[in-house]
Formats: sequence, structure tokens, C-alpha cells
Amino acid sequence: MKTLIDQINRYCALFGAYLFFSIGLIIAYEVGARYLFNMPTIWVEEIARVLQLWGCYLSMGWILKNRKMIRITILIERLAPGAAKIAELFSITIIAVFSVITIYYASIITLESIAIDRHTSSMLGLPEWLFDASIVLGFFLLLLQCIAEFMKICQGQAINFNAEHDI
Amino acid sequence: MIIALVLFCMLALMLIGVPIAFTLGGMGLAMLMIADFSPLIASQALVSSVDSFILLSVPLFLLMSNVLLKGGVGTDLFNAVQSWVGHLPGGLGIATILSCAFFAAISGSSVATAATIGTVAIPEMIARNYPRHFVFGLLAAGGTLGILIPPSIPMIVYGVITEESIVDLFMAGIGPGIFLVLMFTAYSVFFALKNKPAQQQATKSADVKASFNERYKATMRASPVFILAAVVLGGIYGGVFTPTESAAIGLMCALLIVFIRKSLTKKNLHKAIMESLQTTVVIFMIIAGAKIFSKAITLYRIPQDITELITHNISSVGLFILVVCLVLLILGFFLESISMLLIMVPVLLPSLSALGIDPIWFGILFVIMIECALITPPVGLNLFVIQAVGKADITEVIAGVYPFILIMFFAVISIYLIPDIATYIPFKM
Repeated sequence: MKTLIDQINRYCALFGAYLFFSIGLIIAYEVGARYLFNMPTIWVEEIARVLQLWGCYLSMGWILKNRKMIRITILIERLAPGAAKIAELFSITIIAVFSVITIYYASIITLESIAIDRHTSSMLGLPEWLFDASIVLGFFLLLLQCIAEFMKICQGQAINFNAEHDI
Repeated sequence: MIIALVLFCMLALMLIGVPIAFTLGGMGLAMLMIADFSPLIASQALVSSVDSFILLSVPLFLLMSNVLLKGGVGTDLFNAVQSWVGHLPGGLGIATILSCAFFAAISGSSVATAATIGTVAIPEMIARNYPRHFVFGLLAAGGTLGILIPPSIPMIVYGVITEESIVDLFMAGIGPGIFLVLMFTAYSVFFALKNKPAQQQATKSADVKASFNERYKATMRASPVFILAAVVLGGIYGGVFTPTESAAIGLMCALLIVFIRKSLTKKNLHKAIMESLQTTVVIFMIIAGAKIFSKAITLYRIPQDITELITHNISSVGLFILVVCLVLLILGFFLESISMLLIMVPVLLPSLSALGIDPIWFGILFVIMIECALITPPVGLNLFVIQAVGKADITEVIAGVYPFILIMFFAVISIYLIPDIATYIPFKM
């Protein structure tokens, strides 16, 4: 179960990373199309923003798993193992509660966007749910990783405050 | 009372080890719910904070820096600069600072700058008997130029929060960047002259002036880096590209450079992409959390209350800057740069207009103060980068950075007294 969640978030982060890389490619293409062919596109800016949202939120679980979020560790690193464990469980609970509330309210927004067929006010006119759904899925993946991390700590896995990448 | 309570809760959560992004986001969400504001505001803020074309320049500049870092272009750059100044007293120190400055012009990150130049310069300087603490301090401080000399990721974030022109911010960073380079260089020369025995040893093998042919060859080899800097900055300043487009073009040029040099393996490219993702997501999560927090404190009228407090008690700009600098200095002991920016700026922004302070000028002072935070223990990020790159003891690195922190304070005072150091290029040129 935990390994499965780790793997899902790992692949989502890989996907997210290459989404960011592809943003670089399409924006460079836009500049080329504008200056070399005098044919600016109407899709690059908006697609790039959608990809950025998905790339960012899909990768949060992997960032949590690798303990790469910025935080102050001066105090907790000096705590006794038991106290550090409680502090870590508390942190993960805060993230999980935040995720649950966010998933609930972001789902309302997403479903409303689908129900009233809301589109962006741009030339491309993308459906708004494309933007909103990234929050729902991203925080769902983060919530799964919170559960996995909670279980790992409860089962006695040591807390590594400076974990390395696993990719 | 509310301000004190918010501050207390925020500090408590941060000290317990809750990630900054979720401290800010969680506090914001809780404040919204307690006051019966719709939590939908938080979900909308999560979308709107990352749904920004300007912010796209952050991952792209990071990708560009990481591709160049993994592609080993730091060696060419350092060798070229060294061939011109290496024979001077403190020449290797000067070469290091100038290399940091040139790399800063193609990188928006201090970590990438410190790591790229540090990888080449640290072994070279230590081999020539420069005192270790001086070498580490020089590199840690030199790396911070990465966020002052444009492009700069903190400036992009500052521009997004304050809705100021990022191009103006970039241009305003050039003068202070050059000023700090000159100060760091002067200190390197002073250090070399003062430490005669070390200097004699240090220059023994480096005092041979490179021939014109050697200089020409080294410069030609590093020329793609100089061209890349010209394309990135010239494109933005000339109005050819937006900062985001400039970052994308810079990334393509960086890929072309490492492809021609055959210096980037697939594995390293993958690493560069993953490391850029990590930094990007971490920054964006804090931005998203800060946006929720900022919405909540605005609805509670906290920035307005703080502005009132400031305008009633602080009448002069100088005193305001002094207080801000002191707060940033203290925060810098515990927080990293982007967090400081995202916590402080939304709160201080209304006070700037109340006191008639130019936000661009203030942005530059702010960036220099967060440069200090990058090299102040115990959480200065550059200290750990240099510790890792130089395989050093952290105490050696810390011992070396103090003179550079003082130089940065001197830069802040100079820019306060002579605002033109920052504002001349964007507004008077």
C-alpha cells in the first residue's frame, strides 16, 4: 500500500517534471513562430499556464515523501526521538487536514465549472475545470502520501529531515 | 491582539516543523473559517497563485541554470576570467567573484551560482593555499550575487506580489550587483595583501600572466556563456522577449551549448530537470500558501493595522528601513529567502505607499537583505551548498562569511544614502 502510493507519486512527479520541460519548449516555439514566421500562436500562453498548474500540484506528494518542503528543523532535529516523532505526526496531520478541506472545496468549484460549462475569457477559451481539477487531484495525491508517511512513522521508520531524491 | 496571536501561532507551527507553505496556508484557511469567510477563497487562491505566465520564468530559469551547472560550463567561465585577472594580487579571489557575477547574469538562483562556480573555484583556490575559511566565505557570498544580478527568482516573486515591473526590478539590480562585485573584489585584494605569507604562497603558482593567445583561447571557449547572458538580458531589456520568453530561449541556448560541448549526459539532464522541479514546486507551494495567508490577513485588516502602527510610530523612511532590515536580519537566522519575502512583503506593502517609498528601490534593499539571510547561520542555504561542494566543516564556512555580511550591510547603507545606485539604470537611463 505505502509502496504503491510512493510509486504513484513518483511517476506523477516525473510526469510533472517533464511538463515543466515541455513548457520551455512550447514557449521557445512561440518566440520562434512570432519572430521567424510572423505567426504568433493563440495557445501557448494558456496551455503553458495549465501545464504549470498540473506540473506543480501533481508533484506535491513526491516532495512530501522526500521531505523537501522548506521548514524550520532547528528545534525538531534536537528533540528526543519520541518527541520528534510526535512533532512529525502533527505536521503530517496539519497537511492532511488542509488537503481534505481543499479537496472538498476545490471539488465544489470544479463540479460547478463543469456544470455551467465555464470557459476562460481568452482566444483559446479553455474549460475552467482543466485548471480547477489540478487542485483536486494534486491534493488527493498529497493526502495519500500523508497517509503513507503517517503509517511509516507509526511503524517505526526513522525520520530523515534531509532525504535525497529517489529519482 | 489579533496580530500578536497570529504571530504566535505562526511561530509555534513553524518551530514544530510544519512546512512553511502549510503554516501559511493552514493559518490562512483557519482564519477564513473562524471569521466565517468562505473557504472557497483558499481553493481559488491555490489556482490563481500558480496560474501565472510571469511565474513560469521561475522553473525555466532554474532549468537553464541546472542544465549549465550539470553541463560543467562553470569550468570554462572560471578559466576565461582567471586568464585575465589570475595574476593580480588576490587574483583567484577576483576571478571567483567575477565568475559568480557572470554566471549570475544567466542564472536566477544563488544556489546554482554557488554550486557551479564553487565546484571549480574551491579546489583551485585551496590547492593554491588560500585560507579555507576565506575560500568558503567568498564562494558562499559570491553565490548570492545570483539573486541580485538579473535574472533573479526572488525579484520575479517580489514583482508578482507587488505587481511591479519585473523588467524594472531586473534593471535596478544591475547597479547594486556591480557595486557588490566591486566591494567583494576590493576585499579579496585587501585580504591577499594583508595576509602576505598566505598571499605569497597563493600567488606562487598563479602569478604567471597568461599570454594573449591563452586568454583568447580561454575567452573563446567561454564565449557561449557571455553570448547567452547577452541574449537573456538584452532580450528582456530590448523588449524582444518577456522575462518568461527570455528564460525559455535561455533554456534552449543552454541546451544547445551543452549539446555542442557534449558535456551533458542523459542522466545529468534528467537530474537537472528533477532538481528544477523540486525547487519550483517548493517555491510555488510557499507562494500558494502565502497567497491564502495574505487574503486572510487582508480580510482581517492586519496589513492596514500594521501600516497604521508604523505610520504613527515611525515617521522617517530611514527608521522604517532600519527596522525592516533588523527584522529581516533576525528572520534570516531562521527562514530562507522566498519565505521571508512572501511573509513580509504583503504585510509591508501598504506601508511603502504610506511612507512614499519606491517599491522598486525597496525591492532591491530587500533582496540584499535576503542575500544576507542566505549566508547567515544556522539556516543560510548557501552555507550548506558550499559545505557540500567544498566537503568542508560548516564552522569553516560560517567563519568565512562574516566579512561579506558586513560588506552587504555597507551596500544596504550605500543604496539607502545613494538611491541612484539602484534606480539610475531603470529610471534615468
